[in-house]
Order: sequence, then C-alpha cells, then structure tokens
Amino acid sequence: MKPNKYNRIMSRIAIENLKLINFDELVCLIGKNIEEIFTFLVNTAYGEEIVSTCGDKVEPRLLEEALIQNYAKTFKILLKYSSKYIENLLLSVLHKYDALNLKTMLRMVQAGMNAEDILQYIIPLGTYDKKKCQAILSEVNSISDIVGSLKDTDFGFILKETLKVQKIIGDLSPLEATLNKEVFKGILKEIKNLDRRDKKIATNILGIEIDALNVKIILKYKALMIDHENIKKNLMPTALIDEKILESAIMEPDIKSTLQCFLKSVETKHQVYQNIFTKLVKESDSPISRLEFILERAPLEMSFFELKKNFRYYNIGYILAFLNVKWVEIKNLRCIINAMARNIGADQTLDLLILPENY
Amino acid sequence: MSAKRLEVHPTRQELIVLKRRKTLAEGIADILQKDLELLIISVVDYKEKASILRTQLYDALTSSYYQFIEAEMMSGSLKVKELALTTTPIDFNVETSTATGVLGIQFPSLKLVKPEVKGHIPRLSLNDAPIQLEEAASRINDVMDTVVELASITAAIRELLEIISLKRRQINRIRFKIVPELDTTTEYIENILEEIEQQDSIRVRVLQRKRKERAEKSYETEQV
Repeated sequence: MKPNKYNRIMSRIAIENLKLINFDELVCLIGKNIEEIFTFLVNTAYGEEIVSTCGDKVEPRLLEEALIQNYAKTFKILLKYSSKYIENLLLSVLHKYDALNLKTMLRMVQAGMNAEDILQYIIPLGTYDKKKCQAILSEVNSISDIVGSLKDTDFGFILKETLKVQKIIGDLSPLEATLNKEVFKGILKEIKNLDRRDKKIATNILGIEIDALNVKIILKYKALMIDHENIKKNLMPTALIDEKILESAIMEPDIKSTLQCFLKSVETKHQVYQNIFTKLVKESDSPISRLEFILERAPLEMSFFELKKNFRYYNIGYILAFLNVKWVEIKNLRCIINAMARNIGADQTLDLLILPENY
Repeated sequence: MSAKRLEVHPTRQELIVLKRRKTLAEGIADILQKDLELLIISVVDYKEKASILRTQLYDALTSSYYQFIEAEMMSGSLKVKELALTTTPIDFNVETSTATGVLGIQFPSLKLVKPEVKGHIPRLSLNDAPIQLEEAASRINDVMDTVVELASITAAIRELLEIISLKRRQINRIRFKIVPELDTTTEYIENILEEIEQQDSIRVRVLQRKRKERAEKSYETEQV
C-alpha cells in the first residue's frame, strides 16, 4: 500500500503508542491496592474513561469496564484516521467483539435472563453496543427470535442457516462456532485486499491469533475427550497451520505428540511459530492452562517480530501490532485488578501477565 | 454423696438376691465397657478416614478455586460470571440407604448418582471459556464423590457418638448408681442382720442367766 494511505493514521498510532503504559510500570502495579491502581490509571490514557465510569465508587468491575471503553475509543480514533482498506480490515477485526456480544446475548437468552441483566454483560466494544443490544433484546424471547432479529445484519443469514441444520436443540456451540468462523473469514477476506507486503504482515499478525485459537480448541479437545467430529465443526478458518495439519494433529493420541506434530509442520515456515511450538513441546507435560497461556502470548510475539523485521514506517504491521499491544495491556491491567480483588500473591500474578519473551 | 438405699426387707434372702444383682450388674457393665471400647476404636478409624477425605477435598477445592480466580484474571470477572450464569447446571442426586457396621449398628449410607453423559460435551463454550474454568468444573465434579463419602462417614460418626454416649450413660448408671445402691442396701441389711443377731445372743444370754438363777433359787429352797 502506498505510504500516503498511512499519512494520517501513522501519526495517530505514534501518539497512541506514547500513551501505552511501560511494562515496568505495569509490573510495579502488582500487589498495590485499588486506590493506588486507580490513582495510577487516572494519570494515564485511561483517565477520562475511569473518571466517568467509576465516579466516586472505585470497584474492580468498573475499572475493567473503563479499560474496555478506552480500547473502544482508541479503535474509533484509528478507524477515523484510516484509509479505506485499513478501515475495512480494522472493522473486520472489530467484528470479533460484535461476535462476543452476540454470543453473550445468545447464551443469556438461552439461560432465561432478562434484558436488563443481559445488558450488564455487554462489552462497550464493536457495533453491537448496549443501545443496539437493548433494541434487539426488547423483542426477543428465544434463540430463534434473536437470529430472526439479526436477519439484516452481517451475521443474520449464516446464523439462520446454522439454526436450520442444528441437530441438538438448545446447544449453542454451532451458533457460536459459526459466529467465530464468520468473523475470522471476514478478517482473512479483508487481508486479501491489502497489497503484497501488508498482506503478508497482516496474515502473520492476525493469522497467528486464528491458528492459536485452533490449537487451543484441539488442546481442549484432547483434555476433555470430545469426539473428533465435534471438534472439526468448531475449528476456525486457517492461516499458516492448514486443515491437513489440524486434522493430523487431532488424530494424535496425546497432547505431546499433537504439539510435536504442530512443531514439525511449522518449524520451517515461521520463526515465531517455531519458537512458540518449541516452548509448547517443552512444556507439554504442564496443565493445559499453561499451554493456553503460551498461546495467548503468540500474537504479541508475532507483533514484536514483525515490527523488528519491517523497518519501514509505513506498513500495516505498526497498526496491528499497536492494537495487539494495547489489548495485551488491557488484559494485563485486568489481570492485576482481579488479582488485587482476590488477594493473589505477586509471584502468581506476574506468572499470568502477558509480557514480551525477553522481559 | 451416699447412695440411696433400696426399699427391701432386711432379710437374709434379700441379701442373697442383692448380691446376685450386684454380680449381674458388674457383668453387664464389663460387657458395655468392651462395646464402648470397640465403638471408640471404630470412631477413631472413621475419623482418620474423614480426615484424609477432608484433606483431599480441601486440596481439590482450593486448587479449583485458584483456577477459577486464574480464569477471572485471564478473561475478566464479567466473562467468567457470564459463563457461570449461562452454563447448564448438573443435577446430582444422592441415594440414601442403611449399612450394617460395627456391633450390627445400622448406619446411614449415601451414594452419589451422577447423570449419565452420552459422549463428552463441553459444558462451557469451547472458544470463549478459559480452560481453567473447565478444569475447575471437572475437578469439582470429580470431587463430588468425596463430598458424599465424607457426608456418609460424618453421619456414621454422629451415629456412633450417640451410641457411645448412650453406652457411657448406661455404664455410669450401673457403676455410680445401681452398684452403690446395691452396696448401701447390702450393707444396711448386713447391719440389721448383725444387730438382730447381737440382740438375739444377748436375749439368749439373759434367758440363760435367768434360767440359771431360777434353777439356783429352786435348789436353795429345796435344801432349806
């Protein structure tokens, strides 16, 4: 993509980058009480949202909400300054959060909760904000009602088709899987519209997230002994790890051999994938939660790798890497806030923070 | 405090009956004491079992709780709450029956009845739920058997303790009420009988003396 397409957004990214919290400062927050965390966050980019959300009442839940509101605001700013293809890609990424809110609505309507309660669980991110969700929820009583009310939206048709062929009544997993697949298909489709170099960078940064999700699903399957067919239905569209590799990994008898199968298939393809899967194979005897945590770090590792690799300022990598780092920052802050609320020790909290490998 | 005396006739016959009753009471107390010892041993055994189970349960629940917190830290408290609220609850059932234990005592026996699962279907969303939640939930599901077993043992211990206290009351009643009463009554009858014996012997001696004096008097008049 021509550099002039990046003129406006790159300066915004540079400004937003400066607002990010240093990893050292983030680690220093561990073990502090809620007032101290609040005081620290008020003086950062999150200040405005925190003051407006919390007011006089400082609660972990409100802090969490303020962090996500800030992410939504940052996303809006980036969309505003983006050129057409970048905007389309960012919008497709934003659909991830739409899918999250839709899944929340589906689950809660299925559980028989009322609209007021459901709205508390809607995250202020994406196009399905509380207002839109309230409008949907005001007229629905069942899953088919929700699917019906979404008929004019991006997900409407595909959800209706899934609901038609659904075998087990009340099982939401096919609908959830469809939503996720649709989101990732959208992202991959938008990546294809980028030019060669940007396409490669975007495939790497966004693709590793999809691949990590597929690996996580397979690892869960191995841990929970779910049948093969069920697992295949839940797999996402693929990036670097294709369907063949996924299928052969599913057939492996245990977790170690599954991870070795993945390592074998990616070791010549990409350095970050190789590093991640080498680490996973090394820790294959650890609990699945530990393996999932390593996979959680994959997008961040890939972002840093692409930033190092592509010196030229004007590329999609800067934008996507920034979004990843920002999201990781929010997840880390959320982790620290929840650890403080539950009196978790500093060492245990530090273990659960997503930090760069060489930190 | 001196024991109460039984209302009996102070006869030799009653004395024999009382002595027999005392021997019988002491025999019963001995048997009850042996039962009590057996029950105490049984309680200690159950207590050890319960203590092991309780430790297992505590460890499992602590690690599950930590995993739950870990899930909150990783995915946010809102997501975990949402997943928890929307998950279909598992309906456990507990069957109650009785089992015969030590000394033929009937204990309540509890058995967990888990619903039959056709193939493993994940309870939580495969894509959105952190694995920690699944792990915590499945660990708690596994530990439910231990919870019911612990409840069963606790019920047995409670039953045993009730029987132990009953036996102890019975032994104490025999040792500190019935036996002392018998002893007091026996002592009383023995005292009465001794007194009667003494009075009889005095009476005999007086009669003998009087007879002797009368005999001496009549001999003297005959001589005069």
